[in-house]
Amino acid sequence: MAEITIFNEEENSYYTMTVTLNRKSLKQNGVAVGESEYYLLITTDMLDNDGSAFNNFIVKTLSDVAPGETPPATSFSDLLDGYVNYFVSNSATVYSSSSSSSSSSSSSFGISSSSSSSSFGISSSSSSSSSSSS
Amino acid sequence: MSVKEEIYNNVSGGSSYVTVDFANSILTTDLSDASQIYYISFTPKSSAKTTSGASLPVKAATGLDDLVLNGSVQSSSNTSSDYASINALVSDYMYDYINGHTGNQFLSGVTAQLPLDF
Repeated sequence: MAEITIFNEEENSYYTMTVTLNRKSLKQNGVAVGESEYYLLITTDMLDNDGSAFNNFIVKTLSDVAPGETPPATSFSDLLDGYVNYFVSNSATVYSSSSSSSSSSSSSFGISSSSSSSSFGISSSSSSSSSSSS
Repeated sequence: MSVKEEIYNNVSGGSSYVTVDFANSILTTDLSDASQIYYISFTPKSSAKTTSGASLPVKAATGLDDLVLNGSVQSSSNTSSDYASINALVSDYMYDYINGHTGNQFLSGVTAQLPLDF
């Protein structure tokens, strides 16, 4: 299992994106898939911009990219970078912080990740977004 | 969550397993970019041995283009084709543990690996 921690500097809050490898028979989008097969399950505790929970995503091939991304991804790292970007850019956190301010504001996110077998503090990246409300 | 792939030999009645998981770490295979990489990890049962008594290697697949080149159904000799799915990748890696492969099989620089001993 890989767990990616997403830090919102503005709120001083942490969110998590979790990626697990599973092997199960699936019923996907209302359609039953008969045989048991391997897939990645991507979940997050971030909230969508309407305040609801994000959908869980099932990845069976590198063409199962995040919404808005161009398939196929070149690697698992490329694939999951796309999901992090999707969750962060569509989260309620970004929108609530922007709309509550009368002047321009910025949200900074730091991203770190760890797996169940080991953890590292070396890799981190950040992205920023800013918007102003009228 | 990891998946334990059980292996059974109906001739000897022996069994083993390989634990398949998804993880992210800095891989020493590519230190040109010292950042964490996501991969599917394969960890054989610690006591599992090849037919020569050697331990079986832990493997990491970083993408569907990470072929094991072992001559099974998927990507046996077509080294320019990626695996079609994660399912196909795992199947091929499991086949590789069970069957082994010769050195330089389908591509130069491939190290030989003997089959799993039951």
